[in-house]
Amino acid sequence: MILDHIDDENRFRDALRAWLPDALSGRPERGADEDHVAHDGRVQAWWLGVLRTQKLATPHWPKEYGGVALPFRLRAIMTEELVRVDAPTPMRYMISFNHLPATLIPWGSEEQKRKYLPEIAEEGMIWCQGFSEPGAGSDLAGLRTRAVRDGDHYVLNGQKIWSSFSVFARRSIVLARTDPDAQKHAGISFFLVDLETPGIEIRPIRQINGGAKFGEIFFTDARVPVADRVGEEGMGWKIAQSTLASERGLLWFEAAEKLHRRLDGLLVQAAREGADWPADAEMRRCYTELRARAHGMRLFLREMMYGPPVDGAEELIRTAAFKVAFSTFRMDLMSFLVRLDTPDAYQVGNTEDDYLGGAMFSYLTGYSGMFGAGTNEIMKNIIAERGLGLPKG
Amino acid sequence: MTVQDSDLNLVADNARKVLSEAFASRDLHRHFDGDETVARRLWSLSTEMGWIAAILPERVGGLGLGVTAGARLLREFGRFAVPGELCSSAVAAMFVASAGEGGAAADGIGEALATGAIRPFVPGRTGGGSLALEGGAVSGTVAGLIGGRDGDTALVPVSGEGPMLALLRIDGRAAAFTADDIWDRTRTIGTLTCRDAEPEAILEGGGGTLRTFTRLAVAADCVGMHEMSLERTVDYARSREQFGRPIGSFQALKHRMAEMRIALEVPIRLLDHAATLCASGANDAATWVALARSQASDASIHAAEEETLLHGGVGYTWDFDCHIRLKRAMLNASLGGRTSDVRDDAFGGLMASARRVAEAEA
Repeated sequence: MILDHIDDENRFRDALRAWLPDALSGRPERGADEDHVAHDGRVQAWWLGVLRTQKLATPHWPKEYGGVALPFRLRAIMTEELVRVDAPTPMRYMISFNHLPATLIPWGSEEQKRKYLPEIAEEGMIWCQGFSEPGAGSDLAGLRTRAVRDGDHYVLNGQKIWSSFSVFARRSIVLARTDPDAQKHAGISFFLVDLETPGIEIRPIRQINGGAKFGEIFFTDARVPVADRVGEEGMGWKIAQSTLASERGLLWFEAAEKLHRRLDGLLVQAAREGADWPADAEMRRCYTELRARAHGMRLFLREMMYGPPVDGAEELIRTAAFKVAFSTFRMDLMSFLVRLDTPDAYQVGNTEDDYLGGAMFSYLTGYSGMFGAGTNEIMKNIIAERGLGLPKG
Repeated sequence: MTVQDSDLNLVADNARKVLSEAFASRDLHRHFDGDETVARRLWSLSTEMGWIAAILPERVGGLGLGVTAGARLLREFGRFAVPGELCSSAVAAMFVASAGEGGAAADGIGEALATGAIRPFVPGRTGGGSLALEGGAVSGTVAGLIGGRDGDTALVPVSGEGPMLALLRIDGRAAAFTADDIWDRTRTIGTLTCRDAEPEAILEGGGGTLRTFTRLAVAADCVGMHEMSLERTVDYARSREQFGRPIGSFQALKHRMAEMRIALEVPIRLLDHAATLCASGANDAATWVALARSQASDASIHAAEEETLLHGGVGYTWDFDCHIRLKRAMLNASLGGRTSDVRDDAFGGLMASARRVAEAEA
């Protein structure tokens, strides 16, 4: 078992590296009439099954809920090694693996943890996030979906939008207003919702990259048991901060490693094939500029992960600054790849990995990074007001 | 040699504290406007504080903190836009620190730097001309050297039997220096003309290494200036009021300041990374120095431009600091080679390593 080496970083890395080639060899091929989305789902589920044989599917979780409490450094090593061999990224499980435990472990009841966490670890239950609404995007606390108490249930009415992975999900975390008279942040509660409940309808939203990863969720008198409320009534906003904080860290780390690897590989390929673009001064300098930023991002992330702790304002600045810098870098990189005019700049090609897919696919997908998880403009407000101390507008 | 972060922080924090008192905005403007006493006072202070000595090896009377300390100090020097002799001396000191044991000539230069006995010019812009060593004496002309107003020596490449570096004493006769009339008056740039000048020291090779340290120094200077541009702009935007409120409360302006901060993150990390690679003598150090230099320079120019613009009308006046950083940042873009060439050098290094990977695969 790879986990036998949990006490030694180098051995852990070596064991993982030795295991990976065989583990990846059974990667399912796409069937003749299988569409990309279905195949992608099959690959992700298969890979989780393989990781589970080594107890590495949800390694960061506490032992009592299906994890092995893998130390942070080893998780980072695992990410590095998986990226190195182009292992599939189980993106559909992003909310399940990160947001759910980040919410339930500090805030959930023991019963909720026992019910919902092991089914993710053992069966790969897919969750989505029902936070944003048509009228509540950047101003999330302005949400209007109502939850009205009726005996042992809450009755939900309203609409959610931009719910990532909702078309694949069976369950959703949902923020809804339980007290319309309270101050806007105070009247919100946090729910765990079974999407097969009568009165819930999910509609996919087609994106500019052709996919439909996110969708809308409509609630019409949908009844949710009181036992599925997380924390007390009115605590939803505070709980959601824990949920949202999990959108960082290793997810960024994995993305940064992928982009760096992609750029690095491009030059090796150019060297191998004698590509003509290095002779083009504009392309060459653009590449060099991107390489510098790619590594700068990695150094920045490692400092946030392993560096000395900083005060609260600096922490806020760094997190927001990384988000903006990285999403912008990602766009610039993909735009460069398209302008290189390789075949995947105009042919559809690989649409499975957000960071490693075809150039144009990755470019289009990159837009989601500019507004997702807090728009870059909101991030700049945070930097300016809470970091630099500029007055609120 | 591994230097502790705590030692580096101590050196940098001390320099920042001392400079914030001894070289405040008022002093900077007096220096900029030609008052010769300011730089001299600062030079004595630097010698007293042992800033240049901190970089140098212990065997020449230094503290042995090396290149990483040099980069941290130069960042503070950039922050306060100190007179050029401090920066060019730090470049020479980093060069000596990297030369290793057994270089008697380098050690001689190091001893002179440690005591503050010399304030050398070093190659800055890619100027015209060249110097030749013949029969033990140097002749020729070289332009684009950078240092301070009280520069007394020059550490420059000469061609003899192969490439070399010479330390030449500027005596106004055998070795004469003519300063250009430049916009960035925090520093001095000019041309050295030698007629049978006897060098005080000769070192084999070293021209490329010296240029790498010039580039590292420029990267550090840019990062420091960028930090100061941001701080000054934020201070101004918090105090200047229009429409009955601080202009920093307007989103159109505050986002630009947030962007200045975001743009600082990558250059800061690349600078540290490049300095660490230089200190350990890594093969790809020059490549990463070039990457740090080009990113930091582009970012600091933009920061100085934004500082000037966000100050509105007063940013266009001689009395505020904005124009001083703007001029210094613009000159930095041509030091150690123009930025596009520096970037091409970096690409060359990246390509060479990509070729090695491709060959190993094949």
